[in-house]
Amino acid sequence: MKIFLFGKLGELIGREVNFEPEPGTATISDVRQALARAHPAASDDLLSPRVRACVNDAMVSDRHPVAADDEIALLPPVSGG
Amino acid sequence: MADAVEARITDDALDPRAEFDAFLAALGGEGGVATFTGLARPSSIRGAAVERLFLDHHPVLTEQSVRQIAADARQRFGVSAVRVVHRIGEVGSGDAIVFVAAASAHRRAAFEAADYMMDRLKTQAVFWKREDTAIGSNWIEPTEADHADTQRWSD
Repeated sequence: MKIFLFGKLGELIGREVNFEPEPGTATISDVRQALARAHPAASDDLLSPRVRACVNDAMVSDRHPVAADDEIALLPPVSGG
Repeated sequence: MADAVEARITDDALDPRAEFDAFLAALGGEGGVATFTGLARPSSIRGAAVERLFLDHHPVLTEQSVRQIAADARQRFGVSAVRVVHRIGEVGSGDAIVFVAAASAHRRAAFEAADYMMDRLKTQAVFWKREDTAIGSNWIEPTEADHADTQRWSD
């Protein structure tokens, strides 16, 4: 699956990650935990409830199921203006 | 006639005078226009000189969020036209980063619509803002005051 990262997370991990989920990776929460294990420097942000997840451009909860061909985005807290 | 709701993001320089002129040119009989221009501040909250801002964005959600905020302002305050233009990418210190305008028959609705759009742009629009200073870079999150400002509009 493709994971797109923005803001601070994009800087820490890269803007786009091709991620091969381990067997048993069923939800957004599983993806976040696997990414956090792979990127310990970013694990606080990856696991923070303030970082929201999107699947195919729609906001989803951590319990949302994931499929191998999903495009997942992880969005840190936003600020414009 | 221009769209009553115009919302865009741009990685070109933002010229608030040109935006104001274009907004005015599309009006038809309104009694007033309120505008606000946000400029990239030259110093950080800790006092360090800011060399530039960098605004990261999402290819779909950023423009969608800006458009939604503009459309909500138009509907909520009954203003006849709104315009929001927001920079993405690198923004030099002192440069315009955001422009909002609202036009209405009477002034109060225009003031309120502009105020509302700015509060939501600070806290809900899908941008990630990094300040680059001589002593390092920081990703900026909304402050408690920003959240309190947005909260004023909750029903």
